[in-house]
Amino acid sequence: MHLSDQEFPQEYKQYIGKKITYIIIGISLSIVLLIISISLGAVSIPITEVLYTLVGKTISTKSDIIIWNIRLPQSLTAIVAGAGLAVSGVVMQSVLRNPLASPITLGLSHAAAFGAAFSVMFLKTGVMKASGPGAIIISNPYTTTLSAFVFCLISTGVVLIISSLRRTSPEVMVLSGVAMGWIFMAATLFLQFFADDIQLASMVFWTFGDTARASWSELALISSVLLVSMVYFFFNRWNYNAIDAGDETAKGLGVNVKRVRIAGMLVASVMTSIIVALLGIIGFIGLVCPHMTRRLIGDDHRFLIPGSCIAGSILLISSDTTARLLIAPHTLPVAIITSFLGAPVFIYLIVKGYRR
Amino acid sequence: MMLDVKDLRFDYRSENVLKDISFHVHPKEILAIMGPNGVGKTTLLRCINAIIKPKSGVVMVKGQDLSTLSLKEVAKKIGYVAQYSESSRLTAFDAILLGRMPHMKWGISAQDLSIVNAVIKQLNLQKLTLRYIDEMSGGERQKVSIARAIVQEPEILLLDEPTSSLDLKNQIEILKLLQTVIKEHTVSAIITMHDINMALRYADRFVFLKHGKMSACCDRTSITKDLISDIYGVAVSIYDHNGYPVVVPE
Repeated sequence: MHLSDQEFPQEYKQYIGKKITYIIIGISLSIVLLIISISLGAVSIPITEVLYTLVGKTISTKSDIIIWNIRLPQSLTAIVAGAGLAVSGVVMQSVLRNPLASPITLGLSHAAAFGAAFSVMFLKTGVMKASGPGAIIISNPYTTTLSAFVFCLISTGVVLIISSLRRTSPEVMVLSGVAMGWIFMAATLFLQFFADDIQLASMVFWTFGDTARASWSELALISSVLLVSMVYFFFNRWNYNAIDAGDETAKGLGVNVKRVRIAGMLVASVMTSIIVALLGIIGFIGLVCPHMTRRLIGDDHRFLIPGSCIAGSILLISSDTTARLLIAPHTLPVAIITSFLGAPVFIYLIVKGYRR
Repeated sequence: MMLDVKDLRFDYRSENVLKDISFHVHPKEILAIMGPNGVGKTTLLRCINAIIKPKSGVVMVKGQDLSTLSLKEVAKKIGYVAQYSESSRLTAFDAILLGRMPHMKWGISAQDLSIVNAVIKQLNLQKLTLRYIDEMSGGERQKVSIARAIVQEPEILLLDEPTSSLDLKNQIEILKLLQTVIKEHTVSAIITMHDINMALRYADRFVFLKHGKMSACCDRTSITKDLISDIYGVAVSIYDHNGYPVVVPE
């Protein structure tokens, strides 16, 4: 069968051009927000000074230190973590064919919280600092992070094992993820009930997701994982589009649906686990940003994957800046803001009738 | 011969679903698989498309055994239109472009775009091109699904109840479209259908299944009221209408 008219559909090219324009606008907006975010905080730095410092010219040593050691790693972490959480949500929603799939609804955050609580309680990583805001610190952040990460992986592993016993159906994956979330939540409450004051405070403090926890080394880790995952997801963009059309159709197009589903879940879960383990729980980005992007540019994963990343970056960096300004000179953990911003948007989507 | 099915047998767990299924399909022919609900029509289509593996037997397209091919290679030979396809916020153009997946290496090529464009023109879908499929009617969506299967450039089209949720006008449109497509592209089609009269009108040959076995494989002239009564368990009469048999329940 030979088909081809050697003609290129102009209309379609314009339509693709429009989507690319959206993405370019999104990227520009996140760069602007990044610069604004660096300039704002307890100490405000003029934008021009920020720009000069970023290109390597020292205006004042104080600004230099604030920007390079505090603001820039924190803001970049917001950009990268927001992108990672949002793209995980997109992939989970696609491979599980469920609009409610996201790192939080699938129990990963609860598993991480339990891991942190476990570390505080049994590995003695929570201690009290002298005074002031943020009095509770985690004395050995690496152990806590590792413990949170390990429990995320255990949760993911259990979900994947249960679902492969039951022919890898998306419903089984979603429901077992929700069930694992509840188990870990109950286990965390159990630990909290028996914890002393300091341990309890450390456990609760840990769950407040905060981009300020990351320094350059954490940022490098999250960025490299994001980069690898993005390449993998983008490589599978057509597979996700095919799965959106239904499992049968995707199989008829030569897609190994089971493999794409398990691998997609695994990569998305590992990336989320690393972000959550390093920064704490940051809610709603993974659920809401994909839906906002779907409304704006549709379900085509060629644009949905980069688009959601940008939406995640924009939402997290705006929330992060707001969190820093709201009760300045003190800062709120960003997780509080994302949920406050995210929940109303989510309710709006439910009322308007959400699309996957 | 476009397609050969020989001694196909399929078991679900320990229960036998299909056995001793053998038939072939000629070029430019529409073969309808008929039978009561639950007899295994969809299962048979899935076996042919290598979505599920038969317990024994072979399916060959132009002499090539499909069990030796990868999923992607099968997808270059067989285009499948599932009974249900989910609708997402994808334009008709992009949904049809999905059919080029088996031929893609790193991404879409200019040739892919040009093929999709040609098929859209041929099926007269220009008005739908940039509309989202989740905003389309059942008939429009079905046409998009068929277009997607055609751009796969397959040898065989499999359609699982392509007309089941459509009104009379759309049913006729889809079946006429199918007739045009197989003639123009030298492909063959296998469809499953419940509407006996629609099948008798538009398909060239028929395979009747009963209790997982083939009861008959014949053309229009060999359809008798005893055969139909035996397959569906309903007493019927057959009348002639412009050369096409029409089945009417007693």
